[in-house]
Amino acid sequence: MQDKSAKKTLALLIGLYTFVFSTLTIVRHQRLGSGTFDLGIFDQALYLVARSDSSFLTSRGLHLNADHFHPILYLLAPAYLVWPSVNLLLILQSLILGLGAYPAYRLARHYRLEERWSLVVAAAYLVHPTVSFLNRFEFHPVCFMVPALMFSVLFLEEARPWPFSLSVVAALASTEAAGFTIIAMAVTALWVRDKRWFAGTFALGVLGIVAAKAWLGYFNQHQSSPYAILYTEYGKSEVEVALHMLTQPLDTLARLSTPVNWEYLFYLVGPLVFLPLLAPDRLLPAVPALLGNLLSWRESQHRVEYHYGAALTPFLLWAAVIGWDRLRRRGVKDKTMGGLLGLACLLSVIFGPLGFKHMSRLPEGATIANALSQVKPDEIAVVDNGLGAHFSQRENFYLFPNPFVVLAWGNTPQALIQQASSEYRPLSRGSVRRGMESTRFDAVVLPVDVDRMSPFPLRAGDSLVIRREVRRHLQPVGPVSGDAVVLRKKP
Amino acid sequence: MKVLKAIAVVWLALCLWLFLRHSEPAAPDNLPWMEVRPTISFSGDWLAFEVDPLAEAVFGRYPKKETEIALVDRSTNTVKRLSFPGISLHAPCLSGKGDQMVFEGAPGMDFLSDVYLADTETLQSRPLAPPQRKGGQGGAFVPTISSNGQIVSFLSYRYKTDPTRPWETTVTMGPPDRLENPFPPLVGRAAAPIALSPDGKRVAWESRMAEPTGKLRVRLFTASDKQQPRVLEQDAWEPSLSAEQLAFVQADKNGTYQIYLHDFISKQTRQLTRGNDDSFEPSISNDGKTLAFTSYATDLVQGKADSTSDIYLMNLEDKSVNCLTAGGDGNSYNPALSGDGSTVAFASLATNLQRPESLPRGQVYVWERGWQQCKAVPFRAGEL
Repeated sequence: MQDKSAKKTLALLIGLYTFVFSTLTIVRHQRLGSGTFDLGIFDQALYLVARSDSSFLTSRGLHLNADHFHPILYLLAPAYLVWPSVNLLLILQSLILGLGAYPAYRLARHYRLEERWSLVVAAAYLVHPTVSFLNRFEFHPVCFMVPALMFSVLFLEEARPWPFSLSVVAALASTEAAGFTIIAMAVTALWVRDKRWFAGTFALGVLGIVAAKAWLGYFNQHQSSPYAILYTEYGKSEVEVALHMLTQPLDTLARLSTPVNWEYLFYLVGPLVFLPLLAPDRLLPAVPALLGNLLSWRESQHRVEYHYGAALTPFLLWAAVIGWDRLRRRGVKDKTMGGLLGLACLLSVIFGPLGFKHMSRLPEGATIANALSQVKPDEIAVVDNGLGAHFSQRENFYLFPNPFVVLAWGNTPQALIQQASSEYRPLSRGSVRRGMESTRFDAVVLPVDVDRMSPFPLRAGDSLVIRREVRRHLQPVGPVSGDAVVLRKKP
Repeated sequence: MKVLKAIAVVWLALCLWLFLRHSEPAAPDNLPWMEVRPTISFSGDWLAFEVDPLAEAVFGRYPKKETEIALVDRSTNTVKRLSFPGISLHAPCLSGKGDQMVFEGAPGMDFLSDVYLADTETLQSRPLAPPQRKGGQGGAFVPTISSNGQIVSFLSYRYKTDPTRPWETTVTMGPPDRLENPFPPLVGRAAAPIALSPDGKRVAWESRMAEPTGKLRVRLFTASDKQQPRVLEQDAWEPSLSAEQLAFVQADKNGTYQIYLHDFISKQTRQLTRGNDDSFEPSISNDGKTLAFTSYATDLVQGKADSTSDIYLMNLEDKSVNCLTAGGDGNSYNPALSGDGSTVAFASLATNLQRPESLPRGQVYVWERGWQQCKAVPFRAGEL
């Protein structure tokens, strides 16, 4: 196979991936499988940026730049001037993630793998659980980081400083945690390239951390980010956590050695036939993000089904390619490795988001056109989490039961605990009624069928109590048809 | 290539323009009023409630700063303020003598919500740890202390064996130094403030569960030192215990919330209110002769026509009802009745309860037997 035809095949692969995952995520959204967290939040954020003067994200209770450092999201904003749509977000996310296959292919070629095996490496990237599940899980600007880091790895290997710097800046602009990854990458650059590369990369990483802190401090009005509380078992700040790990390594290791963590690690390296383990030096940049996940008490960070593996994939791929190269030097044939990786790709598809297990969990088709038509764009909507991303293009859109009672809202530690653990102060029926009387809203949108109900951020029992309370005081607008009901105040 | 570059430049310029348009920090403006629940000692001498230090009155809408607790000694006319740096204090509950107070503070240890026990004279406080805790899970909420000050109870989150599910809520109770989760998981699942009898020997709580079919199951449990937990009523909530009786809320056949009373001696339950709108938040005196509650009903007393909630006091011997906030121009709610039934404290959004003055919304008022009208409670040190 020639490089030209291989590149055509690669383009076809990326196109197919984008088409399949765009379709999957759009269908999932249309069947009410998406949520306010996170698709509705970012849809509202882009809507506000492109089409409103308001900067306050009512779905989250903070400024649209206050939760995370992701200025790269603004790159999508002009598109919302033309086509403000959740579908656009989902398509762009699939495309952005798909584009990471190109540097993966080039990286394999850089290590003199044949075109066909380089294509297998690209395919392994596309179907890797951290990529495919990130794509399936709502939308998050952290998706930009995957191709950005993938390109930075490639440019580091190709010794192209300016494109490398640009891709590192893109990664830094995707999330506040990227700075730590880049600093770890600087250490790798020391032996992959030289001291100058180390110094430049290190400086970029530090700049990224400083910029993220300044940005979040400004938009949070100098309140600290609550995410440090995810590591309370080890310390109250990044420094305390690091000190704990350094001074009590055995204790840390013992705590990390849980079945859930081992399973998570298996899903990271298993789909790459454990090749990354042969190049631990290239895995170093993945360590900060990996520790960030393993040390966190938030359960979703220990599972590949969410977006928390974005900073891991490029380094897993890099290490896999190097691991392959090292095996080849020891006489293992490319055909053997390529066949095994191809088989792993197949298994990743079968057990991934496109496999039977996950496809069979896709909700049934849903009809909410009637409900959508009943809520005008300038109205204040209070919406169930599962319906949220359908009503998020408005200035005032709340995640039920906000604003009647304040839950998972704002950037306090308590809001984060409420999101992650569903722990909150008990809710009384009286407080819900008073909340409905004292806050402004025009419509409450809830699923008709309890099977479609998304209790988040409430516990299931509380969710049913609060819904019942709301329905006692509001009434449907006209006849209820479809899967969502719009409730308004009684005249 | 030039065209592509031009498009990229225009695109980036657009991005920058859109960013600059939204670069000012913004603040929320559509939030509910803070839920304040006053507490009062047996004779009404001691009173405590949450305070938002930035509010014009006792409380405002959702607080922007850590809340504090005002502790009012009505016998000596002094106000003390309890505050912890960086921690919001909520849900105070006084013992009968008023010498001890339990309250909730968040974020506490491990950033979770904690329950504290304070000496009201010295304001010395200590956290009462829930039996189990792990990062992000195991917080404790809305504590209650029995009138005799010996038993503390609160809602806490208990570890569940299924790691993919959140921890479940449970009743934690016992003497302050020997707290435990005495009830089995499904039985002990509490969803709201827990009620203790004056001697701390009886406890009642509301359990909310979503069955696998999606059906809601609300049950009111009671237990005592002589009796294992049992379901007293289905679809009932907000228990308040006297020595031998339990007041609670249940919907009548029209779906309107009414207040009911169960007598543990006669084992009889009777309906106390028959209003045309919801009555709830009962608070019963220690002897079971007086009941304070919140109601939106307009037909419990003559002359009420507005749609706000009011505070009522019911004599359970002759069933006479007195509206303490008649004519109020805002909701009054969360009444706390003193153990002797003489004094009621409550939160209110009304501005006209202390006539002829007009006060800002968000006050705590107190009503004492014999008074013609309620009085707003001073809450700043030195005001009394």
